[in-house]
Amino acid sequence: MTFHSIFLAPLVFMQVAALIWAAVALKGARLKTVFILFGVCLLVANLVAALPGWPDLGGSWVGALGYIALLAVHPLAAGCVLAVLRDYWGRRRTLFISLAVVSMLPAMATGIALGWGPDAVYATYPVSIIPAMWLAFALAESIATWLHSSLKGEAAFACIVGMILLIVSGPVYSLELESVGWEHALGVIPAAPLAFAAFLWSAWKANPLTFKRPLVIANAHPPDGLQAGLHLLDEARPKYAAELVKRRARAGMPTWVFVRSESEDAKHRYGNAQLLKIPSSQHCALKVVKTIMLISREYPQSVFLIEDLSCLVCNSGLMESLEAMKAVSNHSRMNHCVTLASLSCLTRAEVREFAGLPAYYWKLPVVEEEIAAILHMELGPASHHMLRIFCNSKKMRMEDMMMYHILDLQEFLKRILTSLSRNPGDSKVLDSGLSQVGAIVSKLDRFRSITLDDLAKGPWPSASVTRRDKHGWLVKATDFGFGTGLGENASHYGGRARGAFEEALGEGGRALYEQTLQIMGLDEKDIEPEDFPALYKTTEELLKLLESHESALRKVDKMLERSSELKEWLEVVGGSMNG
Amino acid sequence: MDKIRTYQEGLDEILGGGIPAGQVVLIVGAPGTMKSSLSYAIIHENALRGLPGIYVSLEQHASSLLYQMNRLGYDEKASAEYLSVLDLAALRTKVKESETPWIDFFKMYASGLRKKFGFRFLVLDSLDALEILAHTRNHRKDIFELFSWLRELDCTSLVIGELASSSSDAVTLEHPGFSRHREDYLADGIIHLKLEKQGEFGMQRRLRIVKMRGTNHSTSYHAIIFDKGFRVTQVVS
Repeated sequence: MTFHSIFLAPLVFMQVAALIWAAVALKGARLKTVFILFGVCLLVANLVAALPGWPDLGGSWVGALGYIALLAVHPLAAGCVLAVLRDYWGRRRTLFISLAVVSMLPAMATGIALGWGPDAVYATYPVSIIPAMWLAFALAESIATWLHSSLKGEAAFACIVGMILLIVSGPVYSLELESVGWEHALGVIPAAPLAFAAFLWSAWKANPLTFKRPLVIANAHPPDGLQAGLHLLDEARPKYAAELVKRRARAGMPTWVFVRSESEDAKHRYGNAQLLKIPSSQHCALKVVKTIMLISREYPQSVFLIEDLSCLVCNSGLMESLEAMKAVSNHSRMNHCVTLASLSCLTRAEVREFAGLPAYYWKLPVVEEEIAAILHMELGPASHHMLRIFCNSKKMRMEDMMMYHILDLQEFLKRILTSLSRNPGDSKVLDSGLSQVGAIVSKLDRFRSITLDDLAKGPWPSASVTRRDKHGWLVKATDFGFGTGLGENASHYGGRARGAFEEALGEGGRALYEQTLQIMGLDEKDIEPEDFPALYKTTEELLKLLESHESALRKVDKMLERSSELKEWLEVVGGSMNG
Repeated sequence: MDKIRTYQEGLDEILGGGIPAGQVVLIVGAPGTMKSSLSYAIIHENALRGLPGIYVSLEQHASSLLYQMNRLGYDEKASAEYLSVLDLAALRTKVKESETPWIDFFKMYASGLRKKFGFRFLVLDSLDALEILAHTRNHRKDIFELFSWLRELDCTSLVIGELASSSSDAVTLEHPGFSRHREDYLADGIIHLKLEKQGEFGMQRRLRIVKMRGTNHSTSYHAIIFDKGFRVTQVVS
């Protein structure tokens, strides 16, 4: 064995790490392209480096097979690691097995062809490289974390290291060929120390011995200063919750998200956080609690997000979900972890039930409406069109806009407003356009980095913008407080009450409901759950009054019999009648 | 109430001292009655005296407008510090008209300039062009909203409106319209310009303050003559 062959394992690992780094850091739609590109680069570099050793193969088919095996084995091994990384073992078992087997077979063939000496052991290195794969995994994950963090300097450093790894991969490969007996490798001596330094750096930064390492990069200060315990986030869709989770994950904290479905969209929404699917079984609330307890014991500073409490309520029922959240609240406080739970998709009555738990309750604005309000302050009604154009360019609806879209929106506005200001006028017009852009960008920046505390203190940007009759979609913060922002139309509870009357009292229910409203002097759209007890009481009184009229006696008798059902129905649609 | 002087000879006198600040004044008239020139002259003279203003042109390109005004003796360089010309006509060539919310764009530019530049005088040339570009369906409501917005902008606005030649002659007690969509009722003031036949072959430009809220103005027709500047005088038959 030559002197520089001691660098072999780390150098091989470095090649694999480079591939994985590329795949992880640039995951998403471009993943396949990037992976293929890097694979091709690696292959070409290897071929160029190994070309001088070709005559040593002697032209035999066994030698050629071994040569091909050595060329193919790196990308395939990288593919294997990637498969582990992306949990193909759990989800795409066939693909994982095929990658593993395919990467083993040529190497084994080489071993058979060359005989089972030390060289052949190296040739079958996909088996011996498993520890190196873990190293690669750790490195790639930590680089990806840095890449997504605000520590741009370190991200740039990671990028440079990645590039160096690719550059040295060719000479490194020639070293490998030399070690298995094929001489004339080029570029080994200058490349080896460089790659070795990179290896030392990665080993120092990314302790490969434990899987936990990337999750506890540092005892980072929570970016938003959330207290340990359960935090209930009252927002129309879990958008600010997603932003909080992303911020924590970016700061290198262990972050777990319970999602309804592990879609690509969810992965994109929550960044580096681990996704856990909420089981759609009867006692899913208890299972979620159990999972939180297990994980938080292992990772004490974890952050959990239950994306959709309504999912728990649907499957486990309201009472069990409330009990489960009570347990989560206590456990989180005792174990110094933060659990966020989104109250989206719950009725106001259900929200009130959850708000009664020993937890922090945060009323949050509708993200897209706040963004619209910020734009409206500077651009007036044209902001609506700007947002529409932006959303069209992203192929999404306006209500799908998330906090992470703000950066793209800023870029878009900079481009379009500068262009629009350049066209129609003199320097003053351009100056005013640029100043509008500057104001919007700084306001959006402030909103993007706002903490829960500041958000709760208010005022929200939408508070300063009046309702737009023309488009009818922008609401004031004060409207939001009364439910408009939650997507509840004005007759939300009125419609529910009407339904309860019809369900409980049959055909006559509707007429009775309308008469009751008349007596109470209420409009259907003004009904709130608080009115339900009075609604029931008035109806009962009305029925008793009608009882004295003989002509309607039979019908009213029936209705009186079923009036207890009405009470139950009203409880179902509006929450507790005693509440 | 503060008044913005027009600095046009004779006009401030019949206006009762000038245009009340913050009002929306419609300048209407048939083609050739020098609506744009009079408006530019007023904003130019105010700019020369340090009152910032913008002239929003939807029809005529800025270069053509400024060339025309230079020919009339209004040197753009002299007022450049306080007067800005917003050439939305140039933007029209770049943006598809059917998809462009022109009223909203106009508001966006104007409010941006108001914040940055702090102008106190605005000329919109012309309301009819804006209506056509904006594809307004409910004209009266849209114009009402536009005028309310102009008032909220806290500047004095001169809005140029076009009248067909025949209708300008036909402004009588039976048909007292000064606009197509009754925006004359929504404006705070109306200055009507018309061409009146004089003698066998001659034509004379005439001006009348139809209304000007908050002022004690003359309601008679006056002759308006351009000779190195506008001059408003009594009509001499």
